[in-house]
Amino acid sequence: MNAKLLLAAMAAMVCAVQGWSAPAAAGDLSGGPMLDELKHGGYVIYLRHDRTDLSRSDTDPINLRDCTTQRPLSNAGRAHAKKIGEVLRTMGIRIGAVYASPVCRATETAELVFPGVELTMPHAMIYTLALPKEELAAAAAELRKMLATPPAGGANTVLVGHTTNLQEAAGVWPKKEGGALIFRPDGHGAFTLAGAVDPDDFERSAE
Amino acid sequence: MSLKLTTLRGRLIGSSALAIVVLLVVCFQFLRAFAHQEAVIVRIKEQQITRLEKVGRLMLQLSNNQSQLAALLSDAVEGKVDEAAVFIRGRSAIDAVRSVVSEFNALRPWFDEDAEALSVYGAAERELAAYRGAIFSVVDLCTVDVHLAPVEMLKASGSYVHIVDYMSNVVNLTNSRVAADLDRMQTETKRANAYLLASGAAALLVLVAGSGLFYRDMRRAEVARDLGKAKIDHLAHHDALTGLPNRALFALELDRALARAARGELVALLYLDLDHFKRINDTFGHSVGDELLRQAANRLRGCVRETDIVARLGGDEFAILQTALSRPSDAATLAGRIVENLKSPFVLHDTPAVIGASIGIAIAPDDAKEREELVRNADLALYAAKESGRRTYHFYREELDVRMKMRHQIEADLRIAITDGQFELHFQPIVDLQTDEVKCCEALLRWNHPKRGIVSPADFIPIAEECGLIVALGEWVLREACAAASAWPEKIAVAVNLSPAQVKADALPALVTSALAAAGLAPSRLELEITESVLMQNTFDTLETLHRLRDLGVRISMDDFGTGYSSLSYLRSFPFDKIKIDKSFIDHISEKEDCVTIVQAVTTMAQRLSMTTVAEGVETADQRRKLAELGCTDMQGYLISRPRPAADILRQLRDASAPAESAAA
Repeated sequence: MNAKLLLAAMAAMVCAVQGWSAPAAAGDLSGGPMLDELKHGGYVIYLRHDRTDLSRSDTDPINLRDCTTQRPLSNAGRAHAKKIGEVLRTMGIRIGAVYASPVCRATETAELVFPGVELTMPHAMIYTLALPKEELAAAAAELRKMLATPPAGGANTVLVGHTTNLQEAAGVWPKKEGGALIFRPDGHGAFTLAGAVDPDDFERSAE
Repeated sequence: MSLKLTTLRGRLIGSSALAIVVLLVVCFQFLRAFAHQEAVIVRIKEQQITRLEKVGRLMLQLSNNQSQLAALLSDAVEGKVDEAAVFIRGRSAIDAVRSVVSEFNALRPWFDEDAEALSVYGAAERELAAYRGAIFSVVDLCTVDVHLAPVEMLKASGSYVHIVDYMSNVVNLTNSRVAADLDRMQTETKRANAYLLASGAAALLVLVAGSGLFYRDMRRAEVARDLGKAKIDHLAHHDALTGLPNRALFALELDRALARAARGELVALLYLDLDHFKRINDTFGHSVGDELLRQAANRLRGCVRETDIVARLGGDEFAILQTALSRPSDAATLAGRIVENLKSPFVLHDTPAVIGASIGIAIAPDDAKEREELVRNADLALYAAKESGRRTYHFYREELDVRMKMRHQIEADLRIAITDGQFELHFQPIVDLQTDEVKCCEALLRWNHPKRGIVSPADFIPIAEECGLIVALGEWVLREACAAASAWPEKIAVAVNLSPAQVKADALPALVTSALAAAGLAPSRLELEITESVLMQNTFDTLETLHRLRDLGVRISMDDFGTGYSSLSYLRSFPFDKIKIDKSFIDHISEKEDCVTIVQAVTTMAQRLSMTTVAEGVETADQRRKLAELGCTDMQGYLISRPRPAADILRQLRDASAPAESAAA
């Protein structure tokens, strides 16, 4: 609830500054109903990369070119990511553009969920803990813009990323690896949090 | 002498002052170098302190960072804060580490020159990178799985311990290095001070020695100056070329001699000119001329007694003062000896040359008692000696005075004659030998003197040349002749004689241009006649002037060819339009074969050189026929016409051309 209030306040602030219209009231769906709702399209799905091998760490500064210097997906994470893809496809949820963080664990997640899809990897989606603090404001603004952009033609947009980015852009913390937060752009430059899908919800839907 | 001593003292004081100044400068440099060394030492110390402070501050920051992060970690492990809060605190810890890293990297240049410190610093740098990574992982793990974070925290702490260890090592190393540097500098300072002192002492020594040398040189300079003064004295009273007394010294000697003459002693003043000296000078050059003067001076010295004085007054003028004569004829004996002596040939730079001398003699107190009068009389006598054919001597006589007075009278009369209109131009036609047509008329000057009647140009032209009136007279002739010719038929030119003095003047081309313009006469109708004597001036300027005249379109004739030296080289030096063969050849052309040969040679040569030839003074039909045979082109003389006044000649020319003109019409 806190997060919702925060988001509303923030959206109002953005509107005040940029002259956007006020967002429509947000729904608060989760799990299966949320996935069902996605069939209608028009949502932006922020998927946190799947489970990772915690025995390994990123270097600081991060080396985007060498996945072996990063904290990678665990095998469980990889399996779960594939499962997410199966669920989305079986349910007939239409997916439009897919954006992913250039950090390997996010890119790999996106590729496992959507095999063969063409990925866009914006700089703003890099794990912000690895970005210098001067770039944080610009990254947050860009991510907000992505969240507020309605997907084209009844599909849903997917963003595969990290915790801190969303915390800085929208004030919400995606709790679990392999879980998703669903946003609804209002078409006037603002967005609302529509609901959440836990990693387990995907498992359940797959069964 | 007192002046010299004062100067000397002044110079010594000056050099002492200089020594003091140099010493002051040395002291100043010493102090400055010392202060500089001190400043450098202070700077090095301050620099090291700055470094130590900086390293200490960085280490302190790392320590704070660690405890900050440890607190965050314990809060996270105990679940007191959620991921978002961990993230915000973790973020600031990471930013703190990053700023420490960039400040730490900036330290590297400090150790660039100290390999050992640099390698330890490098190890610390690597350890700091590990620390940075560990801190990042701690924060990262706190947001993913907080239980794994303490392991990373341990790594960070390990790195921190190493970093501190390494940096303390670096500090020790640089400290000892700085200490060594300071030690070395102090040694260098001591050595530099020693050098400075030594150089100061050396400067002082050099100054002392230098002053001594300076004093010695000054003495030498003074001696040289005294010698120079004597030499200058000699130069002031002697001729540099011959070593004979000059005009100034001679005047003094003459005054002394005249003082003795006043007491009854006979004194002779001999004025001497070398004959044709100018010709030698012009022909063979000044160095040969100078050699001639030296040799002539030596011969003169050999001719006189010890008590007589030979002086060179300038140019080729010499004077001899013969003292204590028994009778005036003693002077004649000496003069005869000198004339004979100078007659024998000279050898000038391997060139044999025969000259001679003319001498004028005046005796004091018989001829004059005052110096100026005696000199004037000797000069008149010299003039007379030259008149009577050179290579001889002549005593002053009173008639000389009379002649001189007459010259002065003519000169005075000449001055008013121009303004009074006593001059008149007559013209003598020059005709073509084949066609009898008048081609040109020569302008001839006549002076109708109110008392003397007609004065011959031979009498007044030399005087006019001597006193410079020739320039004004020449200008008058030129303007008159042009004005007269402008009234003549167009094909007839006018010939005007130029004197050497006129050709020398730079203004001649401008004068000719102006005279032609004033008369409205075409330049092609003016002929300027010059004699060899003009070319004997033989300077570059003369030829330049002649060429400039030719460039105006005026023609130039060689007058009186065959008299003088008639050197063919004169014909080569300037391309004359016309040669006028002297009357002396024409006079005998009917009977003397050598004249025929010469005229033949001249006309043939003139044809080859595209020059016309004019025979001067033709008086008989026989001469005319002969000249036509020899190929002479033009002629002039009583046979055709004597010189006639301008009005007559104008009438004559008009009458001659009238039938032709009417026929043409």
